[in-house]
Amino acid sequence: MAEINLSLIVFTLLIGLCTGTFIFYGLWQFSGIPSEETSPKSSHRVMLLLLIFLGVALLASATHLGKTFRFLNAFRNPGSMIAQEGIWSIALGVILLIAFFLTFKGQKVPKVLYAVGGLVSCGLLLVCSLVYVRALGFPAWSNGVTIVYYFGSAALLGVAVVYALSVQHAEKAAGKMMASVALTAVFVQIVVTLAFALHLQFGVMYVNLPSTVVLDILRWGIGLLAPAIIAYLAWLGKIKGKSAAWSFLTCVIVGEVFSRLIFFMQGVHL
Amino acid sequence: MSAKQYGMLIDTTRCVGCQTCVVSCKINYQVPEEAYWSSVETIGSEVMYQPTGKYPHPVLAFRPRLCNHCTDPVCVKNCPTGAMHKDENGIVSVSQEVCIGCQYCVWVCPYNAPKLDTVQNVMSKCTFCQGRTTKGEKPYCVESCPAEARIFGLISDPHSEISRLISAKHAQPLLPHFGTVPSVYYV
Amino acid sequence: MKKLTTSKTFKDAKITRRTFLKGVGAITVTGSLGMAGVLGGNTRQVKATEDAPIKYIHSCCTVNCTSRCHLKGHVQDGRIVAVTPGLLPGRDDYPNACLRAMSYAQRLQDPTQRVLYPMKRVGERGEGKYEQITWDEAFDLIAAKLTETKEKYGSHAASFFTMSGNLAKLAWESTTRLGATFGGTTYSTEGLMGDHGASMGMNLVFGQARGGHDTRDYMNSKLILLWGRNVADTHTSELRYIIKARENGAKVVMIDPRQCSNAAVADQWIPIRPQTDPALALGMMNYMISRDLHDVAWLKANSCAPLLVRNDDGQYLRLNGSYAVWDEKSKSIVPAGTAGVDPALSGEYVAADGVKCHPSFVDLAKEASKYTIAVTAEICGLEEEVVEQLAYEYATMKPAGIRMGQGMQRVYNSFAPFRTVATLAAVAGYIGVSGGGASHMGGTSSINPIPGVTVPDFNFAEWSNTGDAPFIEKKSSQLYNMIENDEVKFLWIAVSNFINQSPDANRVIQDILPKVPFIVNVDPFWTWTAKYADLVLPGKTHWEVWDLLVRSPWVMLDQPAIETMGESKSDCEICSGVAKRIELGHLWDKTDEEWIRTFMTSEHPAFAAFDWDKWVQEGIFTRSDGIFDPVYAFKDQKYKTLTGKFEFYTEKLKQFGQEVPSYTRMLEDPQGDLGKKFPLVCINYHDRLNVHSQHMLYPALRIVSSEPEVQINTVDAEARGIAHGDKVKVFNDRGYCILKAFITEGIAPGITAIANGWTPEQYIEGNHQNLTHLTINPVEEFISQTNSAFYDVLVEIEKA
Ligand code: SF4
Ligand code: SF4
Ligand code: SF4
Repeated sequence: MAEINLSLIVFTLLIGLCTGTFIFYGLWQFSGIPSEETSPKSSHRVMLLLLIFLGVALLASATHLGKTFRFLNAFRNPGSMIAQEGIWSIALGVILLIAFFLTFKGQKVPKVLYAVGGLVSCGLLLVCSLVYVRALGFPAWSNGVTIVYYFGSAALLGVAVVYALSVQHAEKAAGKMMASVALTAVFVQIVVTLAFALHLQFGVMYVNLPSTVVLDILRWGIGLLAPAIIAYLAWLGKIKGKSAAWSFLTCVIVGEVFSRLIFFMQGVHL
Repeated sequence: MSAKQYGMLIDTTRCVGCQTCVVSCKINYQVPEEAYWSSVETIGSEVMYQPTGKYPHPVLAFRPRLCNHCTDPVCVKNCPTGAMHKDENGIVSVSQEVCIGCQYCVWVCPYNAPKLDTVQNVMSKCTFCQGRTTKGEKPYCVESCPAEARIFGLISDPHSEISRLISAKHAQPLLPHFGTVPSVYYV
Repeated sequence: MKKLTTSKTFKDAKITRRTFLKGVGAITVTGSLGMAGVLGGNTRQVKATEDAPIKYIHSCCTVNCTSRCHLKGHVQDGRIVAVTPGLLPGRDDYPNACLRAMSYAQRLQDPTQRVLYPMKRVGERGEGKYEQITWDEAFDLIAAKLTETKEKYGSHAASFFTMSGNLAKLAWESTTRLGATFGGTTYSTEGLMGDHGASMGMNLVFGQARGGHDTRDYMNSKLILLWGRNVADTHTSELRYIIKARENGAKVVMIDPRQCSNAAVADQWIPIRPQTDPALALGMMNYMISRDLHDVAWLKANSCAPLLVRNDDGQYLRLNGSYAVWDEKSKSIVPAGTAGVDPALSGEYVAADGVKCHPSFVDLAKEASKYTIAVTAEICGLEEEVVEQLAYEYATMKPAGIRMGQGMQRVYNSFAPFRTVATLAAVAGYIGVSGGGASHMGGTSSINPIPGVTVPDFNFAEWSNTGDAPFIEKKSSQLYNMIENDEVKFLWIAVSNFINQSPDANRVIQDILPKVPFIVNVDPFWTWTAKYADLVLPGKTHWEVWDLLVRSPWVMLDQPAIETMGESKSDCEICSGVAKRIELGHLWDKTDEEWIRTFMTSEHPAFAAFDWDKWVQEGIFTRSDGIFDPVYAFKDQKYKTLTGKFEFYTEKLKQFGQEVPSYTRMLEDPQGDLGKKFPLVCINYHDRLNVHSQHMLYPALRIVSSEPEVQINTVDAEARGIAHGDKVKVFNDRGYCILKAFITEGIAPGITAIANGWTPEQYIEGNHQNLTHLTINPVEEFISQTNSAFYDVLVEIEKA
């Protein structure tokens, strides 16, 4: 029954990574912490990475269509969230491209582009989550919690990537500060995950959802508790910035994959 | 209800679960592979034909299902391509040459009505036997039901036989709280 | 998409003239045309081109379901693409075509399911290895075998056996007619296949094997007892009237060990134990008689109840050749039927010659009196309140109709259920009363005889003339014995998946069939039986032949709707082909179409409007003397019994102690010794998706059921550690089968059920007929012939 689909896991994970990273990368730039010299070059690489994420995400979603080469038809009904996904993705893609070219030319990404891109990312996250909220056939998904779920996940992923980027430049102060941000993001995600679990437990009617105990344990252990401990220790300065950031990122990504597996397993149609 | 809307009344107190309706639709439309446009469920039971309750008083009852041809069809609203559409008779159908097979219509339909045509990789679904009903014939499932458990007609016309029966029998649509305003009523 | 019709496909699929069948499981021709595509459920492969015009060709469903529906085939590009109900003129409410008719039309067009060519066995019997031969070779071979058999052993050593796979005139009768024209042995088939108990029971009390109420007559009933008759699945065309009667206020009660389909639309399900139906009926009679709820007037007027029976020998007392009654008015014994008498139903009287005698009703009442509510409930496995309520309602909700089904008569002493239940209806005075009756099928002729017309309605004279060869007709119950006694040297099996539908398959395969030197099987499909034949001939189905089916007041027609599958031929064509080679050509000199044309050349006035072309186009002809309003049997209270009355007292059965309806325990009694080893009763009910083995395995039906399952109550399953869907072994001393368990609250504890018709390749292993037995019953043989007691079977079940 469960609607497990690899391309959808890839799509949602990459969209989360892409939007979350863009938002927090922008915030990071706003914060003024990164040093002036390294920023355009590293921004360039980040924008390229995000473009690749977005491109792969879109490819993944296109391949899951029964008729891949008719994908252009998907824009015929803009009222549909699937079409919206496409439209917002393209918008984000355009912004990423602009940023990419600017940084290619050695320029800094203007703050307004970060602001607009941040909004577009939020828009994309929103429509992506609405795809599920509107899926009346799947009571586990068709609920406002799914929106929170999406944003929480993207935030954690974005923070984790930016955390890793920040330590790249070996900026000590940033490391400590980012560790605290990361800890906060994990905390938020724990709350979101609990909210979603409560919804599954008490808010879902008409269908019997499969039990996912093993996956839940993995998801909590690897995806939430481990990153929390890492970030805490890093904040205390008990582990080195680099290893902390990278292990944090790895745990978060693995955890979010499990989270999506669980999410899609709850896709039991009425 | 002003626009023309065909609908169906299904009397579960008549249904014996034979699935003639299901098989008739499947064969006569040559619906491919595992897809069935219509189905029957055993009320209250996960396993088809397994009664609920305890011996010697178990309860055995069936509920035939098909597309509800909703007045406010979420499948149509949410189809990215417009392949899923509602026609002037209120029939919801899919233009297979436009459909991209995203299956989103299945996700949004609370009734799991559209069925993927796994040969052509596009959506397929119950058409309320458009080709037959416009000629005045009954849908296959209605015509074949040996229990006469299914009645087809114009529910937009308050004076039609079906409208009369819906109110006389206090028939209700399935899961109306989803707000799609189904055109299939159940007794 | 490749078109899968005719021999062209065969070539496409690169199957050469030498085609082999492999293995016991293989019912189809080699791998390249294997079942994969079909089992994959790809119906699209048979889709005709979208734009080809649709032609409608009509047919009649001739499988042995009770309904015989008129079908409308939608034919496109020489293929049937859809089947819908055909019209029944005069009865707008009646057209029906069920899932079986629809799937069958698809199955028969699937070359992987069909026998396409005459096939001669080259491997061992049962191994399934065959070689394609020509029709000439096949005919010559049969002719040679027949001639040889006749010369060596006499013509009776050639047996021609049929069941009921195709009820149309030519298809059903050709094989028997060939046997008759040859002077061979033919069989009355009802016994072995297990439908004869009903006929015997009916004959005993009514003097005729069938008879009943039009189902619409239940609109006049207050209560309807569906007694062993799952109308929904086994007389599908009548279901709607039961439902309407219920909506009209009648209470519908389903009496069945299984909570069958019809129970879903009944007010009450009474889970009776198999074989105990006579006990329930006797208990109800006792309840009525002991409370004076029985219809004394009816019994006096229309039944044998007042007829005096001699105490000494249990035979009816005769007065100058006529039956006698005790007249309460004149206080004397007078001939039955004397005007103005008031016959007694009780007491003991002395006849002129000093012989003591009593009304036969005394014996019935005495037999019934053994069945108090408590005793009845105990025997039937029911709650006492259920029995009492049933008896009370049956007696008081007047009129109450009973629809009887063969479900209750596949037991030992198979004549008892119909006989006893019908007697219950008589005691209540419901026979010949609108809204009442104890109906078997509802096969009352719907024709209003035209006064003075003596010409036959059909011109069957030539067909009925089988020449002067001295053929014999034997009881099918004796087939096994005859073969074991070396009386069968040649066996032709047609319109029958004989092994799958006869009891004790292991015995048949290991002991019976090996004693027959030569077996011919004509069948459209590769059945289990075909695999044990030496020569398998490709038969045709009702969508491929000219044939006739009479369902008064209608006359229906089968005609070729699709291209010939391979080199298949109709049964009649095959018989004619053989006949020509054994000097019987003069009796078999017509084509199928010519026969049908001949049949329809009657001078009968009801056929005045008959027009061949119109008939072919519409597929149905309606006699002008038809009756379309509901009719019911015995309205005139005339019975073709010896007494001319409803006859519950059968004097010739006195010698067996069965002179009045009675209940006997199962031969394989769960409470007897055998029950210690095999505690579960296993019945073999008829299901919604098939008639016998004819509809199995068509992909579109898999949603209904995809493999055989054994239904077992939760309690029995738990006791054996069996979970729903587990693989289980069902076994007894005769054999076993392995299949999945279907755990349900819809069957009584101690009872299990497997649907009839599934064939070995659909079982994980074995077949339910490995569990059944043929036990010759002396009383049944005396009455007529033994009826296979398919439901009188004990088994044990364990996890496999
Ligand atoms: S039942 Fe589902 S598929 Fe049918 S119209 Fe309503 S929403 Fe659409
Ligand atoms: S599968 Fe086809 S019909 Fe369904 S939503 Fe997608 S494009 Fe529309
Ligand atoms: S054909 Fe009629 S009785 Fe049979 S399952 Fe369908 S609705 Fe029910």
